[in-house]
Amino acid sequence: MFTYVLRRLVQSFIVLLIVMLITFTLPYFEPNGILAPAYIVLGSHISPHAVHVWGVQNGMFHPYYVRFWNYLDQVFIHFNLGVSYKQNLSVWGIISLYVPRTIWLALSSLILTVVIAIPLGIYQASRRNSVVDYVATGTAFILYGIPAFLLGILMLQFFSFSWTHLPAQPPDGVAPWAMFTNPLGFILPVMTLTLLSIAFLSRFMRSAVLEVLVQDYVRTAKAKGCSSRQVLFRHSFRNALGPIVIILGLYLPGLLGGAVVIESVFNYSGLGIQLVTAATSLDVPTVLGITLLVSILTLLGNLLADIMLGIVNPRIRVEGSGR
Amino acid sequence: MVEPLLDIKDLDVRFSTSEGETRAIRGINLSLNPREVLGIVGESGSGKSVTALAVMGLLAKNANVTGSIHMGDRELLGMKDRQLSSIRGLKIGMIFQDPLTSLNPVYSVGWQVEEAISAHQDLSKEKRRAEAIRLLELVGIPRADDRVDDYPHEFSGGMRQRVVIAIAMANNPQIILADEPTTALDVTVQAQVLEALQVAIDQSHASLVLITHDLGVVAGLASRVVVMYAGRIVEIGTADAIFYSPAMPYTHGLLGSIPRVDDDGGARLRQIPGSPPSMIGTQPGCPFAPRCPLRKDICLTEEPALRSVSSTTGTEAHQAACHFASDVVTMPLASMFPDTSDDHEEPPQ
Repeated sequence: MFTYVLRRLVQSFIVLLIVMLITFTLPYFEPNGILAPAYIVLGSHISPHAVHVWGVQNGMFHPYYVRFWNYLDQVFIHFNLGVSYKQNLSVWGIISLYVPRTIWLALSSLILTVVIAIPLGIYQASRRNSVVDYVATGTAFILYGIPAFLLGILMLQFFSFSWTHLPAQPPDGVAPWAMFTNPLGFILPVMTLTLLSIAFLSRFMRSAVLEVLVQDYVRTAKAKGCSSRQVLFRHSFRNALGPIVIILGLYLPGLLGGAVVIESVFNYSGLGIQLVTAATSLDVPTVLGITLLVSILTLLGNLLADIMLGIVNPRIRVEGSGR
Repeated sequence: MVEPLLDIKDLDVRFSTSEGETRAIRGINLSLNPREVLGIVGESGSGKSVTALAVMGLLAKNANVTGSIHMGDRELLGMKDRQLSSIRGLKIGMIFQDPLTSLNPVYSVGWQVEEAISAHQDLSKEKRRAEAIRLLELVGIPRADDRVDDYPHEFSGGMRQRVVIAIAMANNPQIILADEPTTALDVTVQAQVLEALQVAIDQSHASLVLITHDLGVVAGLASRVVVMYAGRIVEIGTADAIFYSPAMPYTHGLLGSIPRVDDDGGARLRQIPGSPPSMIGTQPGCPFAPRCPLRKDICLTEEPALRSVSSTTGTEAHQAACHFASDVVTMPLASMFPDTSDDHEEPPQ
């Protein structure tokens, strides 16, 4: 098991380097190349001389490979993600400021999703083609089809203006604990995010269980005299967990970047908005830093999913892992 | 006359499919006596497996089952799932065709045997485990106490089928239904699995229903044989009667298509021409008539009932569904179907 994880970590690191190389290279394709941010940082009417000075200050005239090497050195040796071009903050400062806010939003909706979608999917599969199944399927399709921003706006319309008067916006404030000053404000964004992911995950759970229910070993379990509850939970659920574990693993990076639309609808400044703003204002160090974080989470999510899969399914357990 | 363990009357199974209604079982009557081995043979689609699944109440939801299946004084048909699960595994154990898929891949084999025990018996954890190991040893799993925690994918096909047999016999059922237990296995492993099956019925004093298309398997174990064709029972009798004086042309055909070790090696296998009829809708007459070499006009218009064969063999329980059963029973074996080897390598005279 240890060598397996080690091998996977080395592989992940290589993937990470490739991702960094790509994101590092992309700014070269801007109209003014890597000097483009100067016009945004200093203003669009600055003299070519000022641009040149900015370029020298930021080491833009070194050869491409030297710049990449320096960036790697800065990140991996000095654990320094650089300083934002736009904000008077280090990139690490921006991340540590907004990550807790985003995680709070995304994690609470993820937990709600898992708690609701998995039992719902199992129930739908066990009562296939019943009224409940049809209603849940229809609702899921509608929610799945609605763009996130539209659902957010509808939620605001109904729950904040028409029917009830829930706060339309979570409390904003730079301090991480500011978000706890008015928990009611989180109901709408969390609900929107949760509804969207339930629509998605419950469909997966339903089809995963349905696929398992027709397997021969389920028939064997019935022939043994297992009750339908035992058949469903012992034999179907455990086997259906595989695909769900993978999906949840892939969902992990989405915790940080995926809530962008919801964040902007509910005017909640989290990491997603920071990434989008940084990208549109050519704040390259911030984009690189957040991308790096999301990549690490993606790779970790995959690794975790694979390890979990081995726990759920003994056939996938790696050699040398013991029993 | 002994009271039968299982009494199937006028069993009819229809499946509604998109192409129409499929009549998989067309009114069969069958009883199973205590401690007997009943072989059910027939080709694919003849309704062998459907009969077994109907007894277990394990047919798909689109199946429409009518008739009656009595076990003792209890009617199994139409029983609620909850009541059925108190019979499944306890009174009737079942063994399935494909051992590679009939065990749950995520639980150890010992766990799966223990689950079968705990479904019907209240045993302590240690006793249950000891019982599981005992069962696995009985069916011939070497070093069972070592392998009890292994997973199905660590077992070979034959070993897995033994585990399935151990599960079926776990609660000493009165009946074990074995649905093609050796079909998916290597020929060399088949004999070992049949041996495990024999151990299972000896230990639990159960009756065995052995469903197969392999007449060789039936010949070794069964005392009574049922031949099914197109959802009907076309012949039933003692193994001797079926093998030595079959009274139905289809049975003749089946026997003629088995390779024999005692011929000179030159004879070709005789095949039954044509294929079984469609199970959708009903054709008049005998279902085997289109393929039958003895076909007369009456065969195409009137379906023969299952009648006792008045024969020289003198076994009153020998019944066949053929208008000419009393003629067929006197015919020599394997002479009825044409030898198809003519158009192959016949040496020039």
